[in-house]
Amino acid sequence: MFRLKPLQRLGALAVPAPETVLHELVTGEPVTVPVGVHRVRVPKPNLPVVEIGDEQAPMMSAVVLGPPWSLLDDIVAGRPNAELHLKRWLAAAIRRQYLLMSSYPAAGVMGFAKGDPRVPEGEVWIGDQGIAPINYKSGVAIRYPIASSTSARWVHIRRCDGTGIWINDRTLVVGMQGDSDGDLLFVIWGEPGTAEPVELPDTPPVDFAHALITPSDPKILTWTEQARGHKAREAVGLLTWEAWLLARANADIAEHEEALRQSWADAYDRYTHYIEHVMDGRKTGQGFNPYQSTLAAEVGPLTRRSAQYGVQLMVGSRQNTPLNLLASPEEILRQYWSGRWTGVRPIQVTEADTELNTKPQEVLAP
Amino acid sequence: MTTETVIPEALTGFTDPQPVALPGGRWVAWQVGPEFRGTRPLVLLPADWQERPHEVTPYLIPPKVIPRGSTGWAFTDPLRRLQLVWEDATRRQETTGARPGRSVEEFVLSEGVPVDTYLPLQPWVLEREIAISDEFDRMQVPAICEALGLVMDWTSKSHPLRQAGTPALVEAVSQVLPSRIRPDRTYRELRSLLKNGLPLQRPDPELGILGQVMTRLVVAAVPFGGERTDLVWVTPSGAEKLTATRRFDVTEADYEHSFRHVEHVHYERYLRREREAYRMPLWRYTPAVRGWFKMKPPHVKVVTAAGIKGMGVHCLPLRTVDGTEIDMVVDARSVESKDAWAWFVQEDENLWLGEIPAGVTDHGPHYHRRQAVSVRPELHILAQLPMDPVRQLQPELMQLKGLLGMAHDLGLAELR
Repeated sequence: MFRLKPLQRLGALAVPAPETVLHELVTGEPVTVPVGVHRVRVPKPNLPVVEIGDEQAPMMSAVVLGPPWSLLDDIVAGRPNAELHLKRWLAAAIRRQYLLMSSYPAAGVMGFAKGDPRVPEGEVWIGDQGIAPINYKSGVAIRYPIASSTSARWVHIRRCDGTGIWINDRTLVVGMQGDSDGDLLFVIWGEPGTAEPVELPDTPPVDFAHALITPSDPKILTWTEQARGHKAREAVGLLTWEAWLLARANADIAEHEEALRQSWADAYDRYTHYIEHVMDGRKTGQGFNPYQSTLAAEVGPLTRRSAQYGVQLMVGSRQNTPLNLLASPEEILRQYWSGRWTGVRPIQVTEADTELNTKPQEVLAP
Repeated sequence: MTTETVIPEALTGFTDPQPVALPGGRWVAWQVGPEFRGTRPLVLLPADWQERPHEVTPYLIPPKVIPRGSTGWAFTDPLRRLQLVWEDATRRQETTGARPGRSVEEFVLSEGVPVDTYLPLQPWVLEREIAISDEFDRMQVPAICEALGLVMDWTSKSHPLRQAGTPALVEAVSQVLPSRIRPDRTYRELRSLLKNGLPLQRPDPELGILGQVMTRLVVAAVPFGGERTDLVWVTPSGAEKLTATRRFDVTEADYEHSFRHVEHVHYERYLRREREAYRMPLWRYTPAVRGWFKMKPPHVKVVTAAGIKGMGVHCLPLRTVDGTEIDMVVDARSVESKDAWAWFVQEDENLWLGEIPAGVTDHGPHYHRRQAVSVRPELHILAQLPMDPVRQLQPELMQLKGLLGMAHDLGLAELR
């Protein structure tokens, strides 16, 4: 038993606060908390339970809540600078949260993409079965994986019967490199409002302008061609990494927001071109040679091995953040999210070098 | 006195299960399926399957080609591999403290494929395939298949060239195919249909065993306007033929997440009675939900034996001039991209007709729901999202700051 005067006030801790670990410890009922769309059971931790109280105060079992127990032990034991340590730990934890944030969750709806020329460009029609009502009038439609700068775009939302997300055919196929044979489309909720209802078509959009079809004998691939085609798919990961590398390198030297957006868009659009080659190579059996890719050739020879090192470098440098301690963590996070901060020092751009913005690869040459 | 062999319900879809002895005692196993080069796949259930009848998922371990030996590869029997894992771990037990039971467990869970028992033909397909190790380069696969007499075209879409079909499987399936098809574009879709096809309410007896998940439809191919999106338009008659059922038997939490928002779902709640493995004599009761719902076009994905597939869309009833009812309309360019003209006869300048077996797979209404998606910086930039990432962190930051506040409230931080 401990005789700790300040802990006598721990009676306050015994409030069965809902959605905390304490709730379960006090009431015995399990706790679940919402994480996105899931309800997640909070595991009961192995907390240090101490017996408190003395002749004057009632005896009770209590749990010491808080950050690393050793820190609280310090406080409880009244060691010097304990409060300072606690504050530092919390400040470090907050900073870490900021710096490790490489993505964040956004709420929306997911459904199968249905491309139709009768859906106007810039609109999606969301089948409201299972998700009604829709209280948003616009949002961002995204087709995963993102394979071009136009794979994600702002759209007006309308609702219709049934399931699936209807979208303009050209937007889906050309803009987002997708089709309607099972591709998923996400719509992130944007502006609140009312999604207007719309009637679905019930006849196929027949067009006799395409009547010049001459059925031919199927092309039979040899097994080697097939193997070569399937092997081409291995280049997709490498190309994705190249595109990121190129985009981040160019984003570092962008001077204003539009140039920044353009650098990412350019990288993704060059990427689209190579991905199309990979997919064609798979169907024709010609394959794809990643060593001949010039997507980001200026940044060095790209092989599977170099990609691994590169990714390690990117992740590693992001975690060991070469921090400017004078900048607030919020500022660094905003910079990272605006694409400027990559963990690599930005190159100083002078007035005379302004034209380099259009040819950023030359800056990186030794 | 005769010994009665109990065959679990989970093994119903497998062909000719024969029990085999396994070392270790945590799993029971059966050899299933037709023999190929002296091997048969192995299906395993936990040894206490009778005490947990609802949660038993059979694990199938197919014969596998692995990199080994002087030729560079070896064709292996799953039962023999499992015995070797046991023997190896037993030998190492004395010196290294290895636990043979755990080694077997790891082997089963890493090499085994969980089989969905609500899909009627999944066991039938899986027990007729041979696995090829990931360690091979894809360019080695043709030579391996040729040496063993396997069919490489029978590949998986998601893990290409890691599953090969046995000749018997491809021959059985070829009964419903015309001769002039493009195998590499057709088989992988057909495999997906057979493996993931839902049981139809009205099976097609003409297609034999395959009729459980496929039925013959009158398909019209016409040139569509706009881009080729691969949508398929299903008329009411086609929708009627393609109506399938999706069974489920899940815990309450899974039900809330996956099926609650499905329309017209038939379900009942019950208490699942099961015993924890090796924990005597406690029974555990879990609230669970079981039931079924109809999956019917236009809210499903339709896959045909011709390889043409797409999300279904509702279409008005259609007939040809001679009164034949059309079940489905597809884009002529989809036919072209799959080289599937052998299925069709030209009826008119812009109309081709064909009778094609088709079915529906396990995608559709229960995937349409609210979600949280992960937004990364590039998406933020490309889509010009106005969200401030710092704001997104507020809940976590408040929690941390709350800790400090709590310490102050409790007087902890005032200590000296």
